[in-house]
Amino acid sequence: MPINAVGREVPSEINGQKFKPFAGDMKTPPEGRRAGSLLRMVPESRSKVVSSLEEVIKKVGLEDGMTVSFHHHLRNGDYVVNMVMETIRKMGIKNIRVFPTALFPVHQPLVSMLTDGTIRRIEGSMNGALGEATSYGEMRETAVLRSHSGRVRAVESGEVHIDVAFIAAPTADPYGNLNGVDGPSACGPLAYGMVDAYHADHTVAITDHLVPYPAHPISIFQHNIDYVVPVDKIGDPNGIMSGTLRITTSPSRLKIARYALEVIDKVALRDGFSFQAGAGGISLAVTKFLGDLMKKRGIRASFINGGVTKYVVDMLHEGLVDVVFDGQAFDLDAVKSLKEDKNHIETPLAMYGNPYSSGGIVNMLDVGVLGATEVDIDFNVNVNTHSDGMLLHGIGGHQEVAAGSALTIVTVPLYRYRVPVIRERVTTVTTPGEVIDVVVTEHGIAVNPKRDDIIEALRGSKVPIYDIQDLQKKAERICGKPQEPKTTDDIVAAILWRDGTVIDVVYKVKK
Amino acid sequence: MVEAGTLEKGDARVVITDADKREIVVKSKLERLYGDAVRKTVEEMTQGINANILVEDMGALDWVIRARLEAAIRKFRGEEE
Repeated sequence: MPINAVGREVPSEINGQKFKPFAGDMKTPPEGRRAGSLLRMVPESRSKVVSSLEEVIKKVGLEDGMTVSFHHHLRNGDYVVNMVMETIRKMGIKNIRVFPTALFPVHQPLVSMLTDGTIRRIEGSMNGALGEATSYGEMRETAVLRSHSGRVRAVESGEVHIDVAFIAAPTADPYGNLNGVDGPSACGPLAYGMVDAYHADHTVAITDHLVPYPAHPISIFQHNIDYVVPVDKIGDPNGIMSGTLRITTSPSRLKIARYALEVIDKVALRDGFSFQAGAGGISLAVTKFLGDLMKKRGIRASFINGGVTKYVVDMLHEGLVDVVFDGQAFDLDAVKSLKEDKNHIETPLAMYGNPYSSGGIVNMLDVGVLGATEVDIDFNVNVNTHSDGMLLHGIGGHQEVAAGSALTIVTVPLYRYRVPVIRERVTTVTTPGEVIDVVVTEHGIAVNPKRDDIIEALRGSKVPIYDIQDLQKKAERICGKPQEPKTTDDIVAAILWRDGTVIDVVYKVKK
Repeated sequence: MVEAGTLEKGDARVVITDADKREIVVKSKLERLYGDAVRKTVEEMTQGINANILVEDMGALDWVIRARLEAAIRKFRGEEE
């Protein structure tokens, strides 16, 4: 197997498909043309409503071995994936490739479908039980994980062809116009589902809020939707929305946020700057502190790319930012603002950070603040596996935000409980050190040596600056050296860089 | 029976019960990463104590485990006197 640019041994073939080894960001040029979906004849009826999932699955002609896709805007409150997959299982259709943007603990019922022949593999993020089952080798074929933009690229390039896209729609009309801002299961944007709607051979909207034609606003337009299936409930609002997101109260996490703020202030803060927001505890704190500092200084941001939360909406309403780009809403304030505020814009995921496009939002970002499970002394980041080798998280937008932002900051505690976060070598490489600029911990920060400009800008700052090796040694002194993960040589999952090259693999874990 | 510590994340709970010879049971949330290290610490700190020693580790740092063990051992010896 070839060794890639981050020193990992990776396969050149996965599930019978050829893949190139990771060669560095923007080092592998694209080939070919955008892939398309089936052309279809306009329906005879003025209604595309079909009364049951079973009937619609028959109509689209789903067969053994085909690929079905889902979006994850309903997050851990989603009912749609389970109801569709259960119908497929009951109909006796086998060997399905499931291609979600992400799956959550609520999708645990799919675990039994890995072994009963219904699912041959999942290509997408797996948070929780499915990741665990995959780690123990229960999936027949190899899982493939892509970032948000990597998934868009895979669909547009034809690397993954979707036979049927099942699109959870909080609001739909009978002719297939969809939005996510109204209805009992409102989730905000439908950004993740858009590429599927454009590129799948067949498209099915599933809704619990059927409104008269035409639905408005419209996120996904009627000419891309073949059928509309009304059901009782597409999700549980308590799992869709994160409730009131709270800023961390942990003194050490707040210290991390303050150090990150200091770095942003010294390196990037100026009128018209832009940044990427998230919903993690530290990220929320950075957003809140940044807003306060901007107010004090009279600085205005040109845009925030979300992960939109109440904190971002507050900044929009206070005039601290001109535009909010929204690919995902985390709370009801964000949903309401998306519906009402003209300068709060729903962005298709293809606009986010696809490296094989004419440029995404991430390329216009000045500051990206990201989290990590592990960071190593080469600044490589792992967000997929735990230090014991278990595959438990997806990539999200980590890769493209890191690659696109002019200043990429990773905020992490030096260790979590007893597990060192800064290590000699990450368990899995998700994002290469070449696109990470500053690592911020509660003990101090480390700057990627290739960014002399940042080291220069931080001269005279109060933040303690260390070599990353020193932070790693400190973490090991406090925690002790952990045992090596007990893994076998069997590859259970491949981690792709956003350009479709293989950056790392995940090995089967011994029980 | 004596005990020290809690089952909070990052802490450890130690329970010592009378017995004729030493028997150590370690249950660690971080078994795959620190199981051996925790057992080594418990082994070392409980030399010569003939009792059942249960350590439930919730991901505690080594010095936290040591402090909880010391507290439990002192209580245990206090009861014996």
